[in-house]
Amino acid sequence: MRIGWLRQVRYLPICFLLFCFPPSTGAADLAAGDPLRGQSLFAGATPLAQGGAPCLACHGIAGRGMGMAGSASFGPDLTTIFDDYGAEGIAAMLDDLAFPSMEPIYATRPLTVEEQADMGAYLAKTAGEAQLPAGNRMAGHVAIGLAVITALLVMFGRGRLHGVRRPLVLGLGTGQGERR
Amino acid sequence: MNIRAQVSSVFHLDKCIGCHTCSIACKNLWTDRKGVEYMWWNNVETKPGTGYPTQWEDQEKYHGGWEKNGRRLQLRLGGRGGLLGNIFHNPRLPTMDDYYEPFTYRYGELISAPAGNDQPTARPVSMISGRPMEIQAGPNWDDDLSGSGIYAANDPGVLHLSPEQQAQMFAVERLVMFYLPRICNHCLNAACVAGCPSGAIYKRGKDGIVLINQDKCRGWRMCVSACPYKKTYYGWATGKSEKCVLCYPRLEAGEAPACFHSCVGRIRYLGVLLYDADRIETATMQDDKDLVAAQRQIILDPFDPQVQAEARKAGIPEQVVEAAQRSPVYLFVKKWQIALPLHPEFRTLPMLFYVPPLLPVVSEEHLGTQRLVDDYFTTLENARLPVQYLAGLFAGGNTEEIKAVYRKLMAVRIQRRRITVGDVSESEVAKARELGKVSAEEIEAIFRMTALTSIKQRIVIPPMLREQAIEAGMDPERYKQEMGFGSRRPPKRRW
Repeated sequence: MRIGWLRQVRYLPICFLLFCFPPSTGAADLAAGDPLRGQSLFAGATPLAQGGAPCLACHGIAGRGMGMAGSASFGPDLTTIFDDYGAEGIAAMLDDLAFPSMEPIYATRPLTVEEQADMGAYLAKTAGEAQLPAGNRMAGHVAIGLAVITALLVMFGRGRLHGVRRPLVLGLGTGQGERR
Repeated sequence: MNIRAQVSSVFHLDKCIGCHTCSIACKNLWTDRKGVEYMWWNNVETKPGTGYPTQWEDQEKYHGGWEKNGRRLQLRLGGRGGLLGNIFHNPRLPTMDDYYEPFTYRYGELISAPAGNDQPTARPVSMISGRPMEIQAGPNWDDDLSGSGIYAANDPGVLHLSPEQQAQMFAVERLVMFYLPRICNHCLNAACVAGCPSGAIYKRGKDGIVLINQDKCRGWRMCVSACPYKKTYYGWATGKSEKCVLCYPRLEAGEAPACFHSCVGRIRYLGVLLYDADRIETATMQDDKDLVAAQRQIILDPFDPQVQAEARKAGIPEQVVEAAQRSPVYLFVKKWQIALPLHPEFRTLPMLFYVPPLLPVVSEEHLGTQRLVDDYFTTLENARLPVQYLAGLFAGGNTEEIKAVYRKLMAVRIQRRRITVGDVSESEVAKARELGKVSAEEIEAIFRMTALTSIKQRIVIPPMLREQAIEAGMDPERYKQEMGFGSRRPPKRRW
């Protein structure tokens, strides 16, 4: 749990931003959004109206139907973001997206009000679901890869020539071997 | 007919005393460098013995040379696909232990050791790690049958003999050996050339010397595996493979190769042969026992006017045809037929021929008997060195080839004995000549070529006509000014 608490530190800049720029009154009503459409927007199946990149390009989420891409880890995982900030905070963020790495993308391509509502609804739905252990899955793949490479090396290595003289001297070869 | 010229050689094994002077001459001239300590372009092996690298003749292990695959000839190492599949992992290389770990001695300690009660010693140290080591192998570790229970007993040729013959070879009072000096055979159907994925190995058009282009070699080491004689070596400092160059810079200057020049026993003969390149393919497809005869057949008579005309048409210079007429190799291989290629069954058509050693065969049978000829020829099967063993070395298992050579060599010996000692009757000499299918004049010629020739008759170097080759490419004056300053393109891969 201590780790979980540490994770929240990531959101400190967000809190700071929220403090500086309180949410505008034009924020969308999350309750009116369609979580299914939100998921589609999140994954990029439905393009954002203004041409912004879909969230999944950087953010992972534990929501179902994302396949391997669900563990995208360029930005923080957004599964529990709703729990952390609540409806009001999420609405403000979706409206502005004033984070240093996101601003260049979304300043000129903001989410429409409808999109904000759908996205917010989707995030609300995924909240509470378990976060994907991204690292473990990677370790599993590495282990499998290593095992396959080792197996191949052993397979090819068995067929190679392993010294001719030494077996003769040790008496393991075809001849008489060393007489002691 | 597609006539080409090949500088080839004959080694007369009866004359080899196993002094290794040839190896040292070669080592000092060519392989006295870092990373090539283990390379012996020329080495002298004791037979029976496992040779260098250990058991190089055993292609079940090393997969060198060619094999018949239906109606095609294929590298035993594998086809093109197989070679490509193994290109990053060549599974058929001799290990360092099969050569040996190169070593030197700390000679400095002999004079720098502090005063003490003991004699200072020079410890052997590895030339790879620099640490003291126990020497366990060397390029002629089994010299003079040392360790014969291990090395001679595991000679691949011996292992093919019947248990009785093996026992006969190793019976204490009959123990027998001879020396086998080896250099690159400069084969007509070289497996190293075929195995090279970089196309770096080539056979020189004018003299048939097989060379590795050091600029093109990428160090895949397929030639090391493909050569059944294990006569290409990987240079660990340059990352390129190297092999015997038959001292072509010396040949071009009209001098004998270093190993030929330094040979104490004068066993080495060199001369140019004309051969028909169109018949190489059929010659390599014969059965094992017919390979020697097939190889002899593609060598052409330089006195035949038709051959001369064809040679002229193929662009072979007149001087080279004249050199071919004076070639001692032609006499030994084609005219007298007493020199045989080493392991023709590898199907590379090696162009280095050996006169098999006679001495061990006769020593027991002729002592104190006047019926020497009868005894000898009826007991060839019981000779000290089994004929099967020699047939495995020089005739692809065909004992008749070996017997024919021995009958001729015996006739030479008996006729000369009649002249110098006089204890053999003329009828016995005549009988020996008849069995050997050789005339009295021919015997005298064989005797003279074997025993009484000068270096100019033993080593007939064809004119290399460098002036013509240079003129074709660049101004000879400029060539004279620019050559001899080393490579202007250093090898790119080093480590």
